[in-house]
Amino acid sequence: MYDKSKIIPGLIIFVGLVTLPFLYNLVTADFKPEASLDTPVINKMSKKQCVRSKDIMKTEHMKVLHEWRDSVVRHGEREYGMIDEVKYEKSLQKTCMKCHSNKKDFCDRCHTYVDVKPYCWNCHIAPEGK
Amino acid sequence: MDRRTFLKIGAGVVATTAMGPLPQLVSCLHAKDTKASAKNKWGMVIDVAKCVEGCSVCMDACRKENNVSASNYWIRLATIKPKVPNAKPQPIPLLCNHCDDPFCVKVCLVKASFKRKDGIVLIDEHRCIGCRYCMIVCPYKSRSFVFKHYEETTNPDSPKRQHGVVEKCDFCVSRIDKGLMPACVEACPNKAMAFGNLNDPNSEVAKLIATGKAQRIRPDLGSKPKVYYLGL
Repeated sequence: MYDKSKIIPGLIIFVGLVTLPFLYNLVTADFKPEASLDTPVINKMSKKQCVRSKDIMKTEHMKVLHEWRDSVVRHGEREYGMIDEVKYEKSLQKTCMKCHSNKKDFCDRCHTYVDVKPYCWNCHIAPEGK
Repeated sequence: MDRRTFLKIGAGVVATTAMGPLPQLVSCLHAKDTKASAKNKWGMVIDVAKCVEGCSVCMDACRKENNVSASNYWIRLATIKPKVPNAKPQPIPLLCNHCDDPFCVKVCLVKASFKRKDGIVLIDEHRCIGCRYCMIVCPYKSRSFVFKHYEETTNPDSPKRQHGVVEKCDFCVSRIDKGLMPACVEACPNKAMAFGNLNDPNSEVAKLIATGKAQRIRPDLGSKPKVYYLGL
């Protein structure tokens, strides 16, 4: 092969440049958004639990909210039920955000990461504070 | 197997498969009774004679309860003129009449306007696209469009008013579900407004209507309004 000393290093540099974005992601892509549960109400709970299991809430919370919304708005069914002798209301503002008062670290972290913009907060009032 | 038996068995199999979804169909037709029960039929009686000129307590209470902006209204002072000779114009507090046969629900393209089982006409603002057909068709002009996002909240339990949807009186539905009276009824200093179940003959509203003196505004249009007026 003619110009072996130039072609092989050139190829190596070329392949390196092309795969650079992938390599870069391999090194740095360990960032996963983690919803923070560090709020005063949750910290006070002796047994940490949500209205549904953590796995369901992680993947299906939007469906749960849609079901709640329809049953409250259309049928006036505002009560969710009792869990461990605590009554829960079907309400984003009064139930979800009462515990998860850290919207920025709970809702927004993942929503920003996956670039979804739920319109909940156009009308419903986000909790202040942490 | 001859042809006749084959056809008989085939017909049997088809019939049994068709029966399968029948229980589901029946349960769909008999939808379960929800919290907004059809046993109730909410209505209102307003005694105009008890209304004081220049008073705006009900309207202020409504704004405060529902975070309604100053440019919009859910209850307003309207002037009507009875269709009799020499009738003088009559100011009345006018709100959504929660018609039993609401035109707004009929015209809504996206089924955002709907009537609950207990007769309250509501707007699902999640769904409203802001086309404003309902505003055109409402005989009482009791709907208004939110032209500008309204950030101010006087009642933190009630949502903010979002730009681009139609809003109107909801009889303070969240209060009714809790067993409370609508904000305007509660606020009225002269007890000019009565609210209750029209289906219950012992309720205050039913008794007032039974006197035969209560009138509705434009019942001739056929929308069967549920807000009655005394002393017109």
